[in-house]
Amino acid sequence: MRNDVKKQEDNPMTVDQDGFLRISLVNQGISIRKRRKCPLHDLPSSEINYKNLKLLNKYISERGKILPSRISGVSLKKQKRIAQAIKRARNLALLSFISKQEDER
Amino acid sequence: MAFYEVIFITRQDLAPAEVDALSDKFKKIIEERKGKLVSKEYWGLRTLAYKIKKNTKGHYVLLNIETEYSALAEVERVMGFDENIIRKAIFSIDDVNKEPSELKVSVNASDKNVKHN
Repeated sequence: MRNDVKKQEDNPMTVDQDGFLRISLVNQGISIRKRRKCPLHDLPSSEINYKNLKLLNKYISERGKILPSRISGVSLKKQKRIAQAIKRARNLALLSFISKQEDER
Repeated sequence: MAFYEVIFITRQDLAPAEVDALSDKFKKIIEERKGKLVSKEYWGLRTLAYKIKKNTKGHYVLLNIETEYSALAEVERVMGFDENIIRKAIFSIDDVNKEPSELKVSVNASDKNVKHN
């Protein structure tokens, strides 16, 4: 029990699965969740377009689906631009609509 | 006058000179109607993410245009007739980006330095 408390003291801030910053208050057993900053915060919106394939590839899953902002932590404004850009790129055959999984039965 | 991005994909077995001829044709249509071709990009013979009309590859050409919409409508109509064009898209943009996009290979399809993959 005591060891557990000490561990938390060493690293009071951790990022959990949903992209929230978890700050544990030692000895109280409470933790607060703070929203993480959008990863595209410093990128101008004009950079998010269908030609920027390097960027768009980061925001699609292995299956070729658009990654939800719940996972990636992108702000709503930027997420809308990303979604539109991916759809445009798909129409122009720059990205695939679906990519089949190889080990499908 | 507004800025537009016109992008079209041609069939894979078209010669580079024919691709240039196509974009010249659209340039002429725009200029006849007092529009302006601001810049042009050729993205090379790219592999398509999926087959379009039995083509696995296609020549990509991007035209940045400043014009009234009426001229653009004519371009779109002519593109629809052309069997060599397998896909087209027109987007309105706020301003033309001066820097070439990462996909750009050269200005003209018939440039000798262009590597066809």
